[in-house]
Amino acid sequence: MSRKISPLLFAVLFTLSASGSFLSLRAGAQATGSISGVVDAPARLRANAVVYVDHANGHFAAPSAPVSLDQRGMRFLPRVLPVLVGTTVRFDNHDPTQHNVFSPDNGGYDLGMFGQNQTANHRFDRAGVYTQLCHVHPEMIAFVIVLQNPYYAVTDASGNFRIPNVPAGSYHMLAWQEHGHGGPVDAVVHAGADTSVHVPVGH
Amino acid sequence: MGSGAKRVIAAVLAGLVLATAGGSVWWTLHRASAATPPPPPPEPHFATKVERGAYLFEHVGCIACHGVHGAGGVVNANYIRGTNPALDLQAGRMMLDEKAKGDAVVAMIEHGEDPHAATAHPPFDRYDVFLAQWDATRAVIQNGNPAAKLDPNGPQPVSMPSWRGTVNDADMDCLLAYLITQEPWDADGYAPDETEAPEQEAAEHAAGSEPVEPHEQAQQTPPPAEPQ
Repeated sequence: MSRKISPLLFAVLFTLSASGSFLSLRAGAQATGSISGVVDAPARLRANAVVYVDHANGHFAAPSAPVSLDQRGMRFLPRVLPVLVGTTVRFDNHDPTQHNVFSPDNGGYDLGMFGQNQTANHRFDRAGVYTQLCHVHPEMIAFVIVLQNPYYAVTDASGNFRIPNVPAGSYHMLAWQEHGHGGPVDAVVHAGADTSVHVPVGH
Repeated sequence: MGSGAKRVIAAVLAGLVLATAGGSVWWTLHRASAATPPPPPPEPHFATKVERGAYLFEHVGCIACHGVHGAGGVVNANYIRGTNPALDLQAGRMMLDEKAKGDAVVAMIEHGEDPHAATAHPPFDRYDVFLAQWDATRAVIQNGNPAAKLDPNGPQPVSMPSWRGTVNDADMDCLLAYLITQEPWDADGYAPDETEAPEQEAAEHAAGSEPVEPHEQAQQTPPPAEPQ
């Protein structure tokens, strides 16, 4: 009898485990790959370019904790800050002087003046580029890039980037740099693999 | 007439002469000192607003703290940045990152036009940001700015004074037009890039003096959120 049941048990277990892994694949452990590459650009357009997926299906939950944009040494750090739409940015004043935070872009905001070790929060609910300025220190400038999805990266000094954990699929890649822009460039991501793309960026 | 009467008349006349001379000396001195600051020497004639701006930059005193042609490099003891801000890069910070944009603004000033009047038909992109920086720069000239200390226990560095009452609106136009022309455009007409490499920024941030509450450095790509 045991000889007859064993193959049946095996078949049942195999089916269960197979469907189980299929379900877990759908539930969270999505098949992902990465997109990496370099921006093809003149030297002045290589660093601090945001390379990003133009549009990805789905709705993406913004991080629950604010992302910091530092005011330190009379400048904003980092100069270029990409965030997912809905993200709250916390502006931290680490200078022994009053700073202001304002932007004239996309309707604009002005978070007023605040002193050392004080912070001001702003939630970015609309995608777009926000030039980040300080009324009292016009030598300070930064950019908050608000994006539809979390698949983005900032290029290093040589123009290299890598975007991990991108769900398998086909995408249009775009690039933004404070003096230029680039794309679209097609990228097809396969599970467990890296896709290499070159994104031309120009004025 | 007695000699006594003659002496009296002579004394009165002498007194009148002295009083008149003294009065005119007093009048001359008074006129010279009444206007503070002293009346400007005859204004040179300038063919352009940019030329007047260059003159003001030297004669009002901007040059002392911001360097020849606004090129910066002037040490300010215990100022948080070490040296005062260079102003020849201000055009780039005002979104005038191409010479053609700088030329467009300078042309407006030379024609006596207020850049705010062009809002309906902006001559280049990100014009609202340009105007915001244009206004902010003028506000700093008007209001001055306290210089932040590097060492909180160190001496107070030299602060930007208020030039209200010294530099009027028209002269601020001239100064800003002049500074725009000082931007060191490259051969292709682009302003130099002021961005630092992200890795350099991160290193400088990490080297910050006092410990601060930990937070994610923004150059890292955050772990992607799950599609819902």
